[in-house]
Amino acid sequence: MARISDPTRRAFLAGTGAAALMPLASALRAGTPAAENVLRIGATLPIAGAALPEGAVNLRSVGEAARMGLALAEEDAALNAGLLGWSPELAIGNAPGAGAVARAARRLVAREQVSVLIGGYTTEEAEILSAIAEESGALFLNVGATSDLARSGPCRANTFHVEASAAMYVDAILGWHVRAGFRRWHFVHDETAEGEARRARAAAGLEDRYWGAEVVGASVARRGETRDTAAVLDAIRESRSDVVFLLTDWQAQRDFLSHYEAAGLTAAVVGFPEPAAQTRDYYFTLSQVAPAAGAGYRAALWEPTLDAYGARELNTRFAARWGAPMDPAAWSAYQAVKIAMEAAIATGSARGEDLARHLAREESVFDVSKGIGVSFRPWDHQLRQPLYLVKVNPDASPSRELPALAARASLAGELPAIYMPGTEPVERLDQLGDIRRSGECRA
Amino acid sequence: MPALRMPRPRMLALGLAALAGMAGAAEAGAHRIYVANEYDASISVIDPESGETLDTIGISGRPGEVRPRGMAVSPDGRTIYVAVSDFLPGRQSPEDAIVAIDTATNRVLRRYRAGGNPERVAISPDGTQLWAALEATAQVVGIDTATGAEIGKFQTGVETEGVAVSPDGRHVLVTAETSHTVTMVDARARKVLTHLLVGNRPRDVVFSPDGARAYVSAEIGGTVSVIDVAARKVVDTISLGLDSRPVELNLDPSGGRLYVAGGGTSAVYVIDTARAEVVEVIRERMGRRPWGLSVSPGGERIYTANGLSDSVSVIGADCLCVLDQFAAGRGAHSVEVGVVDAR
Repeated sequence: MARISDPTRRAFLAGTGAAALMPLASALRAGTPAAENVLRIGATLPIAGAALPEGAVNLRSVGEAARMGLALAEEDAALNAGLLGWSPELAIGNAPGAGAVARAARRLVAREQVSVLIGGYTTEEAEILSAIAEESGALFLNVGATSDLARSGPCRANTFHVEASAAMYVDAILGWHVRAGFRRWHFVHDETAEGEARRARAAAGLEDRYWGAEVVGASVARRGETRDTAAVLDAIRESRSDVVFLLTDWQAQRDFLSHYEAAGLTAAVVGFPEPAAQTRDYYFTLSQVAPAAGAGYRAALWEPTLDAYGARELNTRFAARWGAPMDPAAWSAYQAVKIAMEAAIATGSARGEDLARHLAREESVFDVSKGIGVSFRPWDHQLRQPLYLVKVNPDASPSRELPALAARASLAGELPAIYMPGTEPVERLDQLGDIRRSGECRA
Repeated sequence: MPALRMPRPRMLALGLAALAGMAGAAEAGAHRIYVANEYDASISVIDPESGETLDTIGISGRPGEVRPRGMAVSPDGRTIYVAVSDFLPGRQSPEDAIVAIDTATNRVLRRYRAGGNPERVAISPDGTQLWAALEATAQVVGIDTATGAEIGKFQTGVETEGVAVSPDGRHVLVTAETSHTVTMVDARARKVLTHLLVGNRPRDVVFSPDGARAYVSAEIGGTVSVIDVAARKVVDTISLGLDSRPVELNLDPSGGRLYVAGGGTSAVYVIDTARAEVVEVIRERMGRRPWGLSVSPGGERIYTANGLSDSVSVIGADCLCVLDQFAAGRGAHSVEVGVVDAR
């Protein structure tokens, strides 16, 4: 069971203990041989506390999903790695906000002696964890920050990204929609560096790869500025776009969609899928605030209704363990533990630098239940992987029962397609994201 | 169900010599192909000469909810054992069973309660023990075929899948998909001997005829691991390519050739076991996503169950080419060869 750092230990333990254990966990613990080697893993999660910034309130469900993914990963790793003489020790720090992330991470490294850090739910958090990993020699696995800015520039040798990059999500969304006939694009972004970077990447994607499509408009929407929203709606109407791409954060997407629906605009809308915009709860919110415009297609890192490649088994184990679908944030946290544990077994070492060197090798291939062996790109340490297209259910139910939660969205597609005999699998995966070797890590 | 008609060389009639490799097989026997159809909850019985579907055996009245997957054939060839479960890998249900089918009548002889979502099954050389990989509980279970009693149950890694019994009946090897391990059980002492790390997401395992080696396919790793059974070590790893996604594998009767179904490339990889090298890749006219693979008792034919084509590809061992395609049911998962008495 995960050990929890102060100050919310009691709350974490209560949450974990409430869930019914599936037969597997108990069956396995009884027969697991005593481990000779221990891998200490620390995670910083934005779960609770008054310090959680207002704008990050939706990260609670992301943090909770990640906590459940980590717990299942620890249980699976206790069995799997236990067969080979290894065991995981997981410590979770509640870290609502960047300052708390820094304090929690330093505490995890110093007190708990973790050699693996998992977290990064904003760009700022990812930067902090990355810097602490470089200082301490720990391995940092980013499971939530999509920023391309965090993936370019000087090499952070100990930082690896399980979360997909913004460029990967943008490419997936452009590819799906252009092939479906959406050619006239209107971008809506915020005025942050991140928002501008997403817009630039989307525009470049259309220009470089999809000559039949064009940008017919781009608008800046400042959060909470309703006058901006009215102007943006006018601009969209005038641009006669057939698809609107919201490159803003989850909150601005939600608010904009409610105005968009009320304005009676009919162009399709697709939103940038940051982790907080990939949860079942968020999909339900969209179906409520904008039953037409909010119930479109979205990109996702993982989909709990995915039913192939061993995904069925993983999704089922998670659902049985927690009574909830495996949201993408749970999947990325789960895989981070699995990848770290497998690196430890492969290298025979729990040292962060050794694990990082193993992950950077092109030959180090991991099974993340997506039906194809995946690896980290040597130049920017981004995990190559397929993404999914999901359709939000406009008739989603508020019920918290598992089938109702699962039915809030459904799987519509996969990119790139996994079953493509005759093509080179790594090249296939590299079709998503920036394949210019912009990162400065050495292959 | 008619066979898929495709131009093909004349298939050789299989005489007595062809069956000699099957221990205890009836001299007057002829063989049939049995295909587990995962989404039809049925077993297709196919005439290997004509490709005609002779019978379709219903495993459950709930296709889409209950699925047959891995199969094994008894040493005399007259009983087909099928691992049957529901589609909920985390749940144990009454459907979780090993179903025994009599090849003479195509009727279900018996259901062995297995528990734990059995995915694949193996039979001991003397026919007295069944071993089933229990996916839901990460265990392998041994069952006495005469009494149905449990012989033993042992822990493996998460998502147990492939299982094989050594020719001398002593060792049971079991793969686990998420731990990338093979667990070795001593079936006589009834204890776990060791766990070996193999390629990513190991699926199937098979012993060499002399029991000295075992071969393990790894779907995501795209490899075949070679295990020295006596030393309990992985001594070689043969790469088939990252995209090959190998699943079932089987040896010819001599043990000189290892055939591996490549689900990702719709190919069959042929490995020379002495050289531990891929010597041929059969792609042309192959069905889509071959998952199951079996070799005829004499070694002349290789059959693959093709999950996306709902078919069986027939490969000639001489030409290493596809000779024919037979229709099967929906989601052909595994294929085995059974013996029926000459009428």
